[in-house]
Amino acid sequence: MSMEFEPAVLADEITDAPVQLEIPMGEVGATPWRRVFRRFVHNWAAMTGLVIVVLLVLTALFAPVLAPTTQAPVFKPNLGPGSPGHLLGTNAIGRDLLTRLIYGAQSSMFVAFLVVTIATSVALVLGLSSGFFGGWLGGIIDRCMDALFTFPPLTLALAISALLGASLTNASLAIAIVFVPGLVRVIRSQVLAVREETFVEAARSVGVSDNRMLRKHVFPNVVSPVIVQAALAFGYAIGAEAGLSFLGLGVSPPTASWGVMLQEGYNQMLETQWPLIPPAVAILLAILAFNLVGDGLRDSLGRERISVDGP
Amino acid sequence: MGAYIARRVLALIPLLIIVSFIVFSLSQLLPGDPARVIAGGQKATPEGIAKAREELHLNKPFIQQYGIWLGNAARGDLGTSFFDHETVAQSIAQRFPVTLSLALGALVLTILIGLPLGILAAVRQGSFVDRMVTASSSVALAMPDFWLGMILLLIFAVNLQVLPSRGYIPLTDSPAGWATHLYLPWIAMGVPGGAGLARQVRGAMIDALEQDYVRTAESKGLRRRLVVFKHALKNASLAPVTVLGIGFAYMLGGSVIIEQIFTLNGMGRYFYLALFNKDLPVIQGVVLLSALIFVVLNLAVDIFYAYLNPKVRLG
Repeated sequence: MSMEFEPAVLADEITDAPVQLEIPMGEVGATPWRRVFRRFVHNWAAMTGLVIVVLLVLTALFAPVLAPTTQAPVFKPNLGPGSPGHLLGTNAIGRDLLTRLIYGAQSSMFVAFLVVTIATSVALVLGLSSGFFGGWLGGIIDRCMDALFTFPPLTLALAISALLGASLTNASLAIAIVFVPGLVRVIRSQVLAVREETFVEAARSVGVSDNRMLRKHVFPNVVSPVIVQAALAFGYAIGAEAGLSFLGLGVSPPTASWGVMLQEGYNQMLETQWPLIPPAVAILLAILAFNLVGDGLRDSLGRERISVDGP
Repeated sequence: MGAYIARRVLALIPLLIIVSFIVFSLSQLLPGDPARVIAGGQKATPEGIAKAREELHLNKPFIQQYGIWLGNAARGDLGTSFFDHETVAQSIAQRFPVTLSLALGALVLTILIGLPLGILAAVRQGSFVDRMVTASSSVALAMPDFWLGMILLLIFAVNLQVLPSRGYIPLTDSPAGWATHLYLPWIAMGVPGGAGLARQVRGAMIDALEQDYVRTAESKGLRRRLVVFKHALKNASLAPVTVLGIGFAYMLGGSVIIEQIFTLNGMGRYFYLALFNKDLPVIQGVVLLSALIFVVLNLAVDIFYAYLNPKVRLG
């Protein structure tokens, strides 16, 4: 089952020999990552995803420059698409939809990056400790992760977010907590697998310290599954942020978010249906793009079924 | 088998203690004083607050409060809502049929979509069908259920007006009305679920079809159909069944946004309203119950699997 991951770098077999021939002697050390890179570049679906991701990040970063109008209402409510000066029209209180869409990318990317950063840092500490040191500490960490796993992801995130008070940072924290148990399990099982390897036994027999062992031997083998999980977590976090904001538990009112735009579109669905479309398309494209990158990374890193234990 | 079940049930005790502790600790996140809320908010008198504090055991140490709460919860007493003053257990019991209807239908649809597509893609690995299944599951997996729900609502309820957009009719009142009110939410949850299942089944089946016993069965001259369904599928079912069990448990915990969009008065909406009122007993009650449902279903899946596979039971 998915619990047993082979270390990606080691699993890379000599069958890739032709690729190796093209690598200059000086770069032999970088070979496995180069092969991963090559495989990724030749995966058109993953590359399409990557292009969209890059565009999204740039949109978020340069939102103030790209937005055609200010975020304030322009006093021309409910304009349809293609209206002069308002390419995507305006919403019920006269805010430019394209501007909101662009600033919404900011909220989305902010939450996604914060979620992935918090979740992976916490999970790395917990997963490495649990897998490498084991013992009573590992036992406690594992039981706590099992306990967190029993809560439906959105239910827990909603409860935490609502009790802490609706804000983008609190929403990110709540969504991050949901991701931690799945990531810890992936990291832990990877560490357990690496611990059985001959090179770890060899290092231990020559008296390598725990600290060095973790840094030089265990960590590098944990990186690739974590990268894959992180990419997939981005997509999920974007959906979760939209969901929380839709329910009014994400951003606070003046801030734009795709989830809030969906909410506005939902509320006026019976009168006009257009305002629902731009945020819906943006959410679908963003999640799809991150998923394609995640799938591409997984395939390039030489593994097939890693997401079984994902959240 | 009995020993295996006993071992699994015993292992649940520490888990349930940690789960209940996390749920109880949610009270620590609540800003402000629950006693003041109970006593009437702004116009609360100091005596009223003191009385509420006494009733909620808030003047006792944290651990003791947890003990009292856990003891009550174990007897099925999840407390009383701060707002409508009905017991949480009763309110949940009233709303559970809605959530159960939603989750059961979504589960059936998930299996109906995911299982055949996953098997088909695995049996014809690399073919056009396989590529279509993989590509469409990628797109379906990028649709959050509430997203799909809203699009379906837009198409079928608002534009075509062939299905109702909101509300719930109990099965006992009108089976047809029950189903027509649930078609859209079922599809919204079943399509992404089915896409996930199809991927799971495909991966597991491809692994199983490469095993020696499949080659043996085929070289014996068994029909392909028999080999695929009896030998491979049975052995490939562990991961998909586990994932289905998890998904079903999560759905039973209440699909907050779906119930909100389609105005279904289930556990999810009950929870949502409680979140806005900061109605702590309701929040804790629903979260605890959804975790319990997960634990019980997970145990059921494990026992079912141990029953099928002696290696699990004895290992």
